Amino acid sequence: MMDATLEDSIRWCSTDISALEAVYTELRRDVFALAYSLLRDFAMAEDAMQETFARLPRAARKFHSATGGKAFVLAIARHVSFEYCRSRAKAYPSSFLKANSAETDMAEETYLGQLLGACTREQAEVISLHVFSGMTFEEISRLTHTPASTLKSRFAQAKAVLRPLLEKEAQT
Amino acid sequence: MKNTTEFEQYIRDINALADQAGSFQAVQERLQTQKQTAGGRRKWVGLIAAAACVAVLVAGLGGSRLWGWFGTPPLEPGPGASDSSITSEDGRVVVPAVSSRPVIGVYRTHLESDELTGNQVPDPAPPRLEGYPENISDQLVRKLDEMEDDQPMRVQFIFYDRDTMEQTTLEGYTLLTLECELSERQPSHYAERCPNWMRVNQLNHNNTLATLRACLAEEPWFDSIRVEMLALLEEAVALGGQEGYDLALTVCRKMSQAWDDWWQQRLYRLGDIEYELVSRLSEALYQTLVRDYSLPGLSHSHFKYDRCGEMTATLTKQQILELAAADDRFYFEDIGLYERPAGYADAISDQLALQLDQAPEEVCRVRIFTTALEGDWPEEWLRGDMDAPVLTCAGITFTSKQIEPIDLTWFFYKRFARQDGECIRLNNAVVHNGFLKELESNWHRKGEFASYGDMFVSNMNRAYLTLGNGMVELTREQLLSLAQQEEILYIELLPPGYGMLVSY
Repeated sequence: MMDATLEDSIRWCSTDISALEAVYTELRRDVFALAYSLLRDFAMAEDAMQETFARLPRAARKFHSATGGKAFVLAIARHVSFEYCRSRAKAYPSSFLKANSAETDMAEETYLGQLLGACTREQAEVISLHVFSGMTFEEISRLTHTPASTLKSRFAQAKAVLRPLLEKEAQT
Repeated sequence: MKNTTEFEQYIRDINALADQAGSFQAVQERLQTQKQTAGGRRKWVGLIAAAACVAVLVAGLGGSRLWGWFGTPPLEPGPGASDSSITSEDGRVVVPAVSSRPVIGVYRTHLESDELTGNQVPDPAPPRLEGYPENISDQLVRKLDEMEDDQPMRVQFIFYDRDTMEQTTLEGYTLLTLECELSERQPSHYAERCPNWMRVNQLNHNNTLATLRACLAEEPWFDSIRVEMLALLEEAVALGGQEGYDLALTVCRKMSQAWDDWWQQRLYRLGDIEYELVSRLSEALYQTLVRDYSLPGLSHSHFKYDRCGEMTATLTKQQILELAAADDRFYFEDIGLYERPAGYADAISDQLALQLDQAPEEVCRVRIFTTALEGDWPEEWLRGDMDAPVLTCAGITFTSKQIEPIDLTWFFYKRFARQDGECIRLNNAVVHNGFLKELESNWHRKGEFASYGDMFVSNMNRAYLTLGNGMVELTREQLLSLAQQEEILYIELLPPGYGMLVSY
């Protein structure tokens, strides 16, 4: 689906369930990737993904095409994920703090588990948005309200941390 | 997707997980649930609006005491609120306890934890959900929106009664007038009033000497050393040249010191008044609430040094909506703490009591308010010596290692600056006046700190002092023993990481 079509679908999704489904089909992986990078828990990321699309029809009334369809949906996903972070921090502060520093529910021996385990939450977010969702640093900057230079720096730091992992992956 | 060669496996893994993550059907079901909840909400909005109209009518006819805010009488549930559970009894609004469902609540809250863990959401808040009274916070509205009407919860609210606030005074100050006076004595104001004599480079000009003379004549804070300084100043003028300049410098330094002393004494005095006034007001607001309402599970901390009027009760969503619509003295904030467990000393905060009850094996990071100080130490402490001695309470030894000096905090600050290279900040660190100035000069000199807006100057005074800047960690046994000590006013639980410095 082209971006224009995606934006139309977002505009119509408050009244048309098939438009919502089209947005879901188009962006569910991006939304899940972002939620997972922030929450590091499969069940919560799945929940956050569903919640994001459930909120979309109501939020879509405020959608402007200048925002970009993907950025708009990912902004909701990000917000939902942070809400989940906060509720988890209140309910389970200790586990939340661990999760924030490194721990994930992925087995450590998996590549993804090692990757997320080595990155901070901010770095994982940049990787998700830049690598997985293909957003430019300028687009991510607008989404996260973080300077692009900072994002580039985070990305570079993440790559430096992950270099041994990436090299190992390249060899296999 | 970019960088696929480097992150190919990452993309494959995420895709595999995303494929397992439910289907669009789940989103549709969620949407359906939301519609049902919204329908219920609309029904209640209608009921509340009708109840509010009737209540206003009743008030207009000379009704009830529920409208104490407007000086008018008690709640009479109107036809719109026919299924309301709130009743009136002897001029007091009675809200019954509801025990049909488990109560939602928290046993510890960490208001700063998001900030401390770098997860503060920079996004603007989502638009407020419509149909709720304004005196319910946005975050509570979002939570209520997902709940059934009969869902009971511990709800944290602030009760502001204008009459009570105006009638509670100390030395002629209400809390409002006191805060106004305090705000006029912030460092920015200090900087404005700190006049030309701080600019020592211009001291060889006669104009500056004239300014110094004018300061001596006019400033009330200078009374104590006025004669001595005038004599020195005349001498400086007479001497002229380098010698006169050096002498004038001395005058300037002494005047600066005199200003600091006067300003700090004023501040400490106002701080003392503030502490006492807030304590009194907290109790007065509680008594006003108890006079007008009977709320189930009502609890209020007797030591709310920062937010008086903050209380917690067990109410259903319906009861919260009704109270909020009927009485704007309530401001409902969020889901609150569970009820305080019995058997803990008054000096232990509700939050800490719950923590000790729920997780007795955990070491607690606490802030202790105490009068257990040696001699004239408070004055010195306020000037920057965080390692000053504290009287040892029976069975517990405070060493300078347990009481982390602010230099250590400063160390963390610098370390994070180097690690991240980004804008950093000091999270709610209590910094006293002398040290604040030192920090400022460091920042300006190094030029690597972008913001210190979150810092605040402590108004700590002789009535209470904190130990260790909130960095003391104690076991349950130590805390229970400590709370028995007469010198200990209050012990409050701090969130994990409090006082640590993080980047954002």
